Amino acid sequence: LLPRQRPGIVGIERSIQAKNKETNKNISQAFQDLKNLMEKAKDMVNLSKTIATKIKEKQGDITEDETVRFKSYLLSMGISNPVTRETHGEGDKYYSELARQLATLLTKPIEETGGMMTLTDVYCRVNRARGMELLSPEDLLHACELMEFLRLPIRLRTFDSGVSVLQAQSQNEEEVVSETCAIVEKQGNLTSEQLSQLLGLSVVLAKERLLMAEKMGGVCRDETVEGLNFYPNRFLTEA
Amino acid sequence: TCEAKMADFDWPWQYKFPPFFTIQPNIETRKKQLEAWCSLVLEYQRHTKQYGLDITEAQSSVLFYNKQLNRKLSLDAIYTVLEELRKRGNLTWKDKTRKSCTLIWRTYAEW
Repeated sequence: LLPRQRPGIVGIERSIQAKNKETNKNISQAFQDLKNLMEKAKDMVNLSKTIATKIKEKQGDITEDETVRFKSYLLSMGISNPVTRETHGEGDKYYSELARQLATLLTKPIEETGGMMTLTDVYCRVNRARGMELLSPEDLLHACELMEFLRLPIRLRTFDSGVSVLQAQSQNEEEVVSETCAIVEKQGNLTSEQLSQLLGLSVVLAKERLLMAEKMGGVCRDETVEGLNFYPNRFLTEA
Repeated sequence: TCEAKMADFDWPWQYKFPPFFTIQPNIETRKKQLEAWCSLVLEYQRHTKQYGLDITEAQSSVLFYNKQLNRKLSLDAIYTVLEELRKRGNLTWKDKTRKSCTLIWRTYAEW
């Protein structure tokens, strides 16, 4: 409780002092609590490490279910211990379930937007839809890595540029390339921005399409200060 | 007189094609592109009856700078083309600094 207000500067000073004291107490208490919590977490981490070594020792003896359960413990604490985890079982239950969920959620929108969606877009979409219990970028990536293995209708793909996308299994690469080449041929020349407007794609994906077509020899580039432009590959079509 | 001489030089279609002035990353495409550049350089030199080529001058000459198209071959790209010519036996550097070179219209093998 604050001391009774006194008039004058001394009174103001005293009340400020009292307030400061109160804040300091709160802060130090919060830190104390945090410290306790950390100590408990440390125990949990230690425990999980011993379990990990035990699993290693008993490799083969232990049933798949136990490893799976252990992995979900690790996840709930936010510890990832991939080296020991990866040697025990293929990925884990949480990720494979997540991968399935993502597949049901995303297959349709991906097919509607031309068969591809960048991983950052996927991240936005999923987390915006969830609102709570959000996914970490790492979780999403791990789940997507499993998609091919689980034979889901979408799969993860990383381009040479490092951009990762989810791609519908139904998408045919050669078709996309020939379609892109046809558009470039028709327009004379195209930048990735122009292609993105024509096809209603994101600029990143439009650029990947053009690069893919370039890799196959369908188009060639003209690089100037104004930007990167793509032309039909006359080097290969004309003598 | 140089201008007059240039008027009747038969530029290949590639010279009017903007991507010609960007070294292509696709290996197949680049091979075709460099072939075209090599024969263009040799044809041009033969037409103007020049044996020597100075890199600094060449950068702004019509050969590597198409003013109508506003496209210019970069210095790195010029070296790529000239090195290709050297590999074919059409060019020798005058010294190690690679500032100027001598072009041989026909290789010794062709003679």
